[in-house]
Amino acid sequence: MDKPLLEVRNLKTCFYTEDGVVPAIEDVSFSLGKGETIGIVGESGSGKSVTALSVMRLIPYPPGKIECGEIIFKGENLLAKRMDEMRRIRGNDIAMIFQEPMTSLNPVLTVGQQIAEAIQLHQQLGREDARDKAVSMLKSVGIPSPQRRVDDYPHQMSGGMRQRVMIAMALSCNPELLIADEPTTALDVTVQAQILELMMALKDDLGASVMLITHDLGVIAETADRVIVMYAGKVMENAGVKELFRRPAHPYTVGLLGSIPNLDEDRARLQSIDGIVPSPFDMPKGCRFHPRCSLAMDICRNEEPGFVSIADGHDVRCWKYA
Amino acid sequence: MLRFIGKRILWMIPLLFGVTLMVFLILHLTPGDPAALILGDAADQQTIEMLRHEMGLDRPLPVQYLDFVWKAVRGDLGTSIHSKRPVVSELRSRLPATLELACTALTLAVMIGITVGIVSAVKRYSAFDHAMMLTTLVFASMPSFWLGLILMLVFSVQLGWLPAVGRGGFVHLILPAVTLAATPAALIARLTRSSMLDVVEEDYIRTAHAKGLSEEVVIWRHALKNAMIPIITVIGIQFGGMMGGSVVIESVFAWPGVGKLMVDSILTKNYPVVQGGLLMMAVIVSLINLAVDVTYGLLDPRIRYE
Ligand SMILES: Nc1ncnc2c1ncn2[C@@H]1O[C@H](COP(=O)(O)OP(=O)(O)OP(=O)(O)O)[C@@H](O)[C@H]1O
Ligand code: SF4
Ligand SMILES: [Mg+2]
Repeated sequence: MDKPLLEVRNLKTCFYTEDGVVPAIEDVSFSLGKGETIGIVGESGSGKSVTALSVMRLIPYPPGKIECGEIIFKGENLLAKRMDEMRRIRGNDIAMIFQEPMTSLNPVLTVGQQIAEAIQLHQQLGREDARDKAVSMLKSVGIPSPQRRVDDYPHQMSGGMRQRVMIAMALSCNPELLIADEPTTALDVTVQAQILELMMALKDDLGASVMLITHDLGVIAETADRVIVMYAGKVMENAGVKELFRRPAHPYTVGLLGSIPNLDEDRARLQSIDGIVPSPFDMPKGCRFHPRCSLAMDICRNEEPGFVSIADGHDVRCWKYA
Repeated sequence: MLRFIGKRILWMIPLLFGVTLMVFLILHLTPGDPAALILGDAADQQTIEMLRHEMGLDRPLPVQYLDFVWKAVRGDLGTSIHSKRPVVSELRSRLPATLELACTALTLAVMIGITVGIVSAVKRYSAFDHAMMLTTLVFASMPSFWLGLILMLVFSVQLGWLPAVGRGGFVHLILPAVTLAATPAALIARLTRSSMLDVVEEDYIRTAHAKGLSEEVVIWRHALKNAMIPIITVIGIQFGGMMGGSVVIESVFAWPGVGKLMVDSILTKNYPVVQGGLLMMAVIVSLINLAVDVTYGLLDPRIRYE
């Protein structure tokens, strides 16, 4: 088997807040092969964005800090890199699309300037050439009359269009890894599918790998090869997508899947499991999910379960399988 | 855009009416008779009455006001009671000195204020930041005439490095310009810092970092232009304030500008000069505000003029 493009091992990122140290993610490990798509799901606050930002080393410091772990990208540990080396990777080898198309673009620069900027930086193209490339990127993401829209400011575009611009910007330097943090959550339902389809088609053209963060298990089912399920900062289950939907093992995953009533209403967010996500200041002892787990046993309340492999490429953090 | 500017200039008319009316009333309702002041204590009542008649001061106030406005529209602001020269030419001969001082002070305030603000924001909570926030707090709250006197005492009286009063070459400009710039520079620095700190939290700054741009490019290209939008307002207000502040500073440093002329004229009840001077200041301040609004549009593409 090929070496994976990205391998995250035992990643831990903390925030040093006024109220104390918050371990936002802990012991996060997964790997992503070339051309593969990995889905990351979990309720709000489970650490999905922190995981993504850690890979880019964009965790704001202070208050955030990556405490330990390894992020091996193309055989090299990103955590060992200097900032100037990181900058050559960002936007070039690894690109990111954010959730909020309304606020993720700079309001005082034209979309053309914002796309061309990355191209000029990473591909050593001149002004004119970078602009031409920006126009062709806009065309490839399906923006009509790109020659004209390249000089638009973000406020002159709809949310869907802006997210297309974000995609154009992210893909303009042919990244090998695209991180998309809930790229469609903020959009109109009708636009969501189009944007997702566009993103996945372009990703296939580039042969890029994708880390797709979403609340939407329906989206995962359609796009991902592999899924990690996160809860309270930890990976609870890691499985191939078919396996996960066929044989969900972790009680939390089972709960999530149960919370999709049917595929027509797959917009139902993942909140219908009883109970709430624990506060990071008040993490339950033992299994972090035990207060909400109907299968909790004595050991669950006292000792934290480790990862166990229940099938080839299917790992679960739960005492039931230990 | 041109329509916007035209419209704004039309709007200045009622504003200037208000300003002139207020100035006029204050000057004419406060005690002290210009005719008596001119003639001195020795003059008898009859001579004073004659002069009052000559100056048109015995007419009803509304008539005097309309007369003033009507002449002002045609560029005639009356004659100075003392020099007997037209007020317009008095003002014109003093204006360059005031503009020289105000523009130097503004440039100084903007350059220092914005630089300090950016560095403070980028190096938040550093020793530099703490020192600057304290310094700016002191300058922002210190009365400028007081600062002027201290500077004068230190740099001209004690050290003898710089001239204390008068206008001449660049050296004469330093002390009054620094004095006039101190408070605006402090306010601009504080605002730049807080505005930058707001902006760097924005999502698009994260996007810029995600592209691999260097810290410098992110600050100068992505953050500053957004942060400038609120700062421009304050720069405009401060520039307007400098016009007023120059009245004090010009007196302290005997700077022969409009401000000094006004103070002298107020003391001698030379009311045509005071009226004319204030009207000119009001026009200048309105034009500055207009320039601020136009600058907004250049900085922020979301603003449309209609
Ligand atoms: N800037 C920050 N300061 C302090 N704590 C933070 C910060 N960013 C994230 N955290 C902590 O990290 C935890 C995980 O946040 P994260 O944004 O990764 O969640 P998420 O899974 O992306 O949720 P969502 O679905 O709402 O986007 C939060 O609960 C919070 O405690
Ligand atoms: S370890 Fe126990 S509490 Fe946690 S998910 Fe498994 S069964 Fe439930
Ligand atoms: Mg998130």
